[in-house]
Amino acid sequence: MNFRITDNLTNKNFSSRINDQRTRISVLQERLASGKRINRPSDDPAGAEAVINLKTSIEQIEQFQRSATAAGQRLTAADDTLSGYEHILERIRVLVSQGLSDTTTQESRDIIATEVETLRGRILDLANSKYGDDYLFGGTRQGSPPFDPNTGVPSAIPSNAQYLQIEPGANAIAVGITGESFLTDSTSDIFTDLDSALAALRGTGNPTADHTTLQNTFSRLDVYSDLVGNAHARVGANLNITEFSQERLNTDHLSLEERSAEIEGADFADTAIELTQQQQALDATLQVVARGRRSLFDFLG
Amino acid sequence: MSINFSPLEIGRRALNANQFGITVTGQNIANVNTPGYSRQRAVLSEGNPDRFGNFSIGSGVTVEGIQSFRDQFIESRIQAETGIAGRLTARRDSLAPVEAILQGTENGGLQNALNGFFSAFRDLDANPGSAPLRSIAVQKGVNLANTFQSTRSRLFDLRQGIDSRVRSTVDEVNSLTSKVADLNGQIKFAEATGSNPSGLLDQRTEYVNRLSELTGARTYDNGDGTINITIGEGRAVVSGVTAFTLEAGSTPPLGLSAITINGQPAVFDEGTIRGLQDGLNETTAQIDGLDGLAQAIVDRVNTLHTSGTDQNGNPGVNFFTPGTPVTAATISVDAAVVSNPNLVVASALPQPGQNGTVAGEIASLLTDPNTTVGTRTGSFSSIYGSLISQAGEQVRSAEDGLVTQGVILAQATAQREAVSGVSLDEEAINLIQYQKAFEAAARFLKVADEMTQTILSLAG
Repeated sequence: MNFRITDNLTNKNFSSRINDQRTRISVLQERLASGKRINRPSDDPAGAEAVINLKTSIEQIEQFQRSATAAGQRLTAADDTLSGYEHILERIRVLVSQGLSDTTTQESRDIIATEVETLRGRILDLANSKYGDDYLFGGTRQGSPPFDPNTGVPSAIPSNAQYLQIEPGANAIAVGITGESFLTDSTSDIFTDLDSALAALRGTGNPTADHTTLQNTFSRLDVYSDLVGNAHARVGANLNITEFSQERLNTDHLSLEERSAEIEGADFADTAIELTQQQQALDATLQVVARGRRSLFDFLG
Repeated sequence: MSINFSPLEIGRRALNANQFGITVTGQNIANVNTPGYSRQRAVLSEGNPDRFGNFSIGSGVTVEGIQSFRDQFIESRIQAETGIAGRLTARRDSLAPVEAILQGTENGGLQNALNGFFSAFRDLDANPGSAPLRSIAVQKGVNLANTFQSTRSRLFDLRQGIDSRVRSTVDEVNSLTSKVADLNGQIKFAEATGSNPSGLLDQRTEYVNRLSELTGARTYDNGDGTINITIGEGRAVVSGVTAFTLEAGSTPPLGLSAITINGQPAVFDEGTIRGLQDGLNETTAQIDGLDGLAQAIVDRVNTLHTSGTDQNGNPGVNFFTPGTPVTAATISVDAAVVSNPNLVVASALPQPGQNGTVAGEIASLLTDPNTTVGTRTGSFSSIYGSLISQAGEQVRSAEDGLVTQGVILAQATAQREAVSGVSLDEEAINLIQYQKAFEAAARFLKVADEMTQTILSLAG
């Protein structure tokens, strides 16, 4: 005996087919509207979890990008300031060598002394210069200036360079240097040495001793010159590291975004084509239903 | 030659039988859209033969009764499959909100709150002396706590909602079982007295189908017109004309429902109730997972936060209010920190405003893979991701199961329709058949009458 097809069965089939097609269309429309293939975790649980982890990584990279930018700006400020300081040091060296010359009169030495004193003030300003709310060369000691703003005496509170992590998993880099590291050494500091030079230039009444003092100053200037050269090199190296890190962070960010979009994103063209197909299929079903099922009753007079 | 009145009798019976056939056809047409209706057929048979001279000839047609087309094997298969579909539907419906709640909105979800909070500490790492960034860290902490709380309270409400659905389903089951027990009695009586119980059987089948959907119930035919209905591992909810009432008690500490029959725990293996019970368990597991995540965040952030010094140079205090246990409902930023953001710790050194080491370490906790919450080990972010993917996976598997189940059920229903369903074409043919037979029988009666008249006029 044939499988009996009853009116009810036909109607049930039609209604469940129409329901399926409408569900499918609504899923496709949601994908087109949101641009996403995964609109809720159950759309693809594994993909949804991957997207969550990727988004966290992306956020983290964006954070490190901000940190790297901050590090770069801080290092650039230190770099510029150090260049200024090197020019001043160079000028002082010229002035001290003029002061050492036997042909220089005391009157000229006094004028030189005035300029050196001004430059000493400039160095003190640079040493205590601020970056935002921080002392640029204050390192980890930010409660007080690195050098006494009046006397130039180095702060008694110990300090270290500030470190900042600018790349996931990488070691933190120094985002600055302390004033002590290039303005002092184990024997003295530049302000004390310049004070001695100033006294000698203005004359203490003992020209021989003054001459020796200025000669000492001259050799001390070499020491400070070396110190700032080293400091400048360290800052420059870290600035380089920061730039490389930024490049890597940008590349990582892009590739993470791409991977996230690959997993989560809907293929617009494919989705749009599928939607059209589904709508046509629904139209066809609806037409068949609307035409109605002919029954024997239709032909009975 | 005697007058034979048997043609009149044959004609009468034929009219009667065909009228009966038309009535049954009408009944079928009338019930073409009645759920659970099984098509019927008039059962006719040839009348006992009479002697007619040397021959015996039939005495027309007799109506034997009505036959319903019903296949018990298909019916019980539909019951079993309906039970599975009931469980999957309830499971999907109760768990679908869980994933939505955990996922949150694009910008308001737990993921954004987590990222925002730990990002604030990364910013503080770069600017350890900043007062505004400290305030932001506190705000993001408060936002994280609030998001935890609102997410948990939604899950909690959802669980209460599922529980009340369990209770209302139990009420419906009780009403159905007492109806079935009642029908059992009526059908038994009808069969004993020889009347046609077809309508009652159809009605009972509908109730049993609904019971199967709700509880995964199975039926056993007792042979006397009654059926027994059992759930789970064979506990009877209907036995003959007796229905046993399910009770939904409340179990501490959560007050969730525990279902018993006569004081004994009722186990459901399929059906809506089982799906809802699964939903309850899963929701509870998600709430526990969320609680564990909150506890882990509080513990690990506090450990680091108390290891450093605040902006005033004092030893760090707890960032989050500590407690055993901290749950997603009780997590909060310590009141002292909220009122004074200077207490936020960035530095490891015992002086104010130095470096951001501790802030950096706190920020790195988000992706530190050494946190353990329950059976999950990973970072805060990946544990949250795994909670979400678990919720999604459960909805997905219920949905996939439903698709398969839909196909199986549709196939079983098609089989049932093939046996029991009404086809209007068939009924139209039956109608023509019976009508033509009725006309012929009437014609036959007329002829028989004329013959009788002819013979009577001979006598006259």
